[in-house]
Amino acid sequence: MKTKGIWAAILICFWATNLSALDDNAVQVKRAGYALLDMYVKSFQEMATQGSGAGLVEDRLQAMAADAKKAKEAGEINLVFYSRYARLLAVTKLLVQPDKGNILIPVIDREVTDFLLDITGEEPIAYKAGGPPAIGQVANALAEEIINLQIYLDTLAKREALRKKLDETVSGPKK
Amino acid sequence: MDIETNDPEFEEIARLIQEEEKAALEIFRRRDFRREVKARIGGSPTKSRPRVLLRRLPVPAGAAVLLLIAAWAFFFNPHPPVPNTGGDSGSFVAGVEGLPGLAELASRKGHPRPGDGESQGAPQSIRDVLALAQQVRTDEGENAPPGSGNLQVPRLSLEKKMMILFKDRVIERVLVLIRKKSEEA
Repeated sequence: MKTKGIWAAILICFWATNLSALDDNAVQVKRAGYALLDMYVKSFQEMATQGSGAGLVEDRLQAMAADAKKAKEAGEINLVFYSRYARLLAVTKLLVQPDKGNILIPVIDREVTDFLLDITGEEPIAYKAGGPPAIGQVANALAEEIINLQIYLDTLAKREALRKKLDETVSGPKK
Repeated sequence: MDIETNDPEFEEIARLIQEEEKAALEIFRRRDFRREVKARIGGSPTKSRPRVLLRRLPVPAGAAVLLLIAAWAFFFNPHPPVPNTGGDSGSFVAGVEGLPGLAELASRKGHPRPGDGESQGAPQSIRDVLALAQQVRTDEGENAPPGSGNLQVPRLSLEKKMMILFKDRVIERVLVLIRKKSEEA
């Protein structure tokens, strides 16, 4: 009886330590990820209020890209978050940057179409029509992706814990 | 069964019994059993109790220690230590009191300022302290300029983000603005 109690306490101890390590990782990813998402939203909020031009948007996008890269290299965000965030920045930049002579139009159209299909599942009908509805459709997809990333971060710890549990069920605990 | 008391064998046995009895009594009187029993009764609790306690202690104590370690690892390890900016005691409360901006916040929320006479003791409850610390961290985060490499504090909730993105439609507004400016140019 006593031995069983001791073993139970030891198991709880290991479980808590493992969970703690798992949580630690998730907390770190969450912090940096939330900050990057906030940077994006706050930048656009400020620029909408101030009526900024493309130059400032470009500067902000560059700063966000640099921070994201730094965070990825420091292991503060995971690859999933980084790739999706980088795509968000890339699509934004394609829409913002001036394309003199319309040289990049095929590339921009292809990327935006893929982005719309991936995020909202919409055909780029409004986008192809051009004008304000086109911008509205893409802006909506960008906003959706930000919310998707935020929810991804919100559920990251639970996701990792479930994944670990599943892996252990399938192949046994790691040695 | 009749026993003849005049039987010489019986007399011999009776004599031996008496001698044994005398010897036993002599030994009993010489060794003072009553004193020894009293000494045993008097001394036994102090000598035997530690052994019993020691035998019983390790299991619950060990389990309690392990559970405490587990609880510590679960609740405290994932969180970074609270920065101690000048508190001499080095405690959590001192760390929280030393946080920049707390004085202003404390006065705003009706709490005594750190360093005031009344604030020398601990704050009212741990809940207040945590709320204050969280508020300070949020305020600091909101004051930091975007893109400054400050990837520490989550500042906007999901609800707030949705308000900004879908109600205020800031992305669309900025993109429309840029498109207009580029067309004008």
